[in-house]
This record gives sequence, C-alpha cells and structure tokens, in this order.
Amino acid sequence: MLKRRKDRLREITPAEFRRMESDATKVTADLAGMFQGNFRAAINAIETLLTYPDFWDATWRRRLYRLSHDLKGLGGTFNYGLATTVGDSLCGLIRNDALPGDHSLQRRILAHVAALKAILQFDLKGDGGRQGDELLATLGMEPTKRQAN
Amino acid sequence: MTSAVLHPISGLVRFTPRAKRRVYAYDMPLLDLTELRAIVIDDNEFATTLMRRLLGVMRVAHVTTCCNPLEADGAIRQSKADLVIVDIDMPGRSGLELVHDIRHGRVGVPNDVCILVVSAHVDLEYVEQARNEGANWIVAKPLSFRTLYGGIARAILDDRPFVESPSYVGPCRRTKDIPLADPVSDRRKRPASAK
Repeated sequence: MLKRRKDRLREITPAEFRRMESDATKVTADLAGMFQGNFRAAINAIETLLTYPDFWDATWRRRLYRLSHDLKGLGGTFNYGLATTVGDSLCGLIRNDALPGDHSLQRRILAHVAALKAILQFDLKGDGGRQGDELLATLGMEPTKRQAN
Repeated sequence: MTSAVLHPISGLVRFTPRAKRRVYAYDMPLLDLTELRAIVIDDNEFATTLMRRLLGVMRVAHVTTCCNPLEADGAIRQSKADLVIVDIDMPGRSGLELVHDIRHGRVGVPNDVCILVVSAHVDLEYVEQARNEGANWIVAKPLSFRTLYGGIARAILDDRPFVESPSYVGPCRRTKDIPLADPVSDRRKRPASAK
C-alpha cells in the first residue's frame, strides 16, 4: 500500500505537529463564520422542505435526511456539539420506517428543526449548558453528561 | 504476549497485546505529508473546503476536491492521488460504490490506492460495508485536525497484505492475530480416554 511514497515519508517532531495543530485551530476559527452561514442555509432549506411535507415520498425524505446529516457532520467541528446531538437524533427519526404514517414522529421532527433553529439563533455552542439541557429535555432526550468539577 | 505502554497524555501504564501490525499500533508516528497527493470527494462544498484547509495545514502538497461523485472518476485520474478521501452519503453515487469501483479497477487508477472514508455514518452497518468494499480506514465526522490526521496516517501506513479475490479486493480484513485452528495439535491435547 502506497509503496511509491512510503519510503519517502519522514517523521516530524512533536513541536512541528503542535504548530500544525495550532494552525488548524486558526483555520477552524476562520471558517466558523462560513459554517454559521452554511448552518443557516441548511435550516432554511429544511424549513422550505417542511412547508410542503411529503413524508411518503422517499426522495423528499432523502433530501431532508441529507440536510440534517450535513448539520450533524459539521456541527462538532465548529464547537456546535449540541447541533450534532440534535442532528443525529433528527437523522434517526427520518430513517425510521414508520415515519410516513406516524404523526407523533412527524411532530418530533418539527420540534427538532425548531431546536436547531434555536441553537443557531441563541448561538448555543458546545453542549449548550443549562439551556442545552432544557432544549434536549423538550425533545425528550437525555441531558449531556458532564464531568463533575 | 503483552507489553507495558505508557500513555503519552494520561501518563498511565497500560498493558496491551504486543502490536503485530503497525496500523493498529498504539502510538501514531507523526508524519511529514508534504509528498502526498490527496483528493477529497464530498458533495458538501463546505466540508470539502474545511478538509482542503486542514490538509493545507498538514502541508499536503497537492489537494484536489470534487463535489460531484459522478465526476469523481475523472477527477481521481487527473489528480494522480495517493490518497482518496471520500464521504459515504452522496447523491447519485454513494462513497461506498466509489470505493468498490476503485478497488475493482473501474476508475483507471491503481486499485491499491489508499482510501480513507470520512463520514457521519458510523453505524456498525456502514463501517462494515466500508470495510467490505476495501476502505483502508474510516473516520467519523465531526472532524478535528487530530482525527483527520490520525485517519490519514493510519490509511497510508496500512501495511496489511492487499487481497485480490473474486469476492473481495482490498486490504486484508483479518484484524486479530489469532492462529488458525489446528486440529492435529488439538487431537494431541485430548486425553487418551477421549480418543
């Protein structure tokens, strides 16, 4: 595997690695604004989809899933862990086969989207602290476990 | 056989089985990636931007991105990539299909190219599928510098034998160093009364 390059790979010092890591933190901070724009656009797209919901349509569900999935995937990188938690739960609801005929699941999806909107609006970073726990409680989810100080 | 390993961060001593393969080794070598050529295939443009920037920080020399999985074959050929970083969930063609096509020589690049799957789909089912299609390593999103770096290092240092069989093409999927059952020696161990 990768024999062409493997012999030419040299190791770097831990100091070099730490420097790269600190550069990466700056890059992530630079992109945070762009992420918020992306987050907003994804929420708008989800809301547009939910304006005319068609839970029976597999393509419609797939589009909704993809948008939620992207939020779940990127949230944690930009310190929006709560968005990842809610996004993960939303993905689970959309994947549920009973969704088309189950109105309670559909209502939970709407609640999850509202929660994502609140995370963006109130800029709830990390696990969102107490507000995050309250938000998760409204969705019937367990609060985030934190280490005791 | 076990060996004592001092954890670099916690300082705790752990007794771990002696690593036989570097890919599963406890400590990760810090690699200079300046010689590497990589391509990122992800339908989410923002995710590709993030990965391109992170790969830039890692000093990967050539980074190509492709947001359309249907055009990925040409992009991979053009990039002459040593490492293909691919998302699973993409419209039109999933990342797993792409991995399958690369491994079965349908993309026009060496089928042993390193493949790192980066996805938020980390359910057992998806991880198994990625492994069975021949991915070298799988990294779960959300991404951080360390997780991406660790995934790349694991993928490119993967020295498992490359298997090419009608049903599977990719790195050997045996991950445990368990000797095959030896019925001859088993018979010898049995008491004489049982024979």
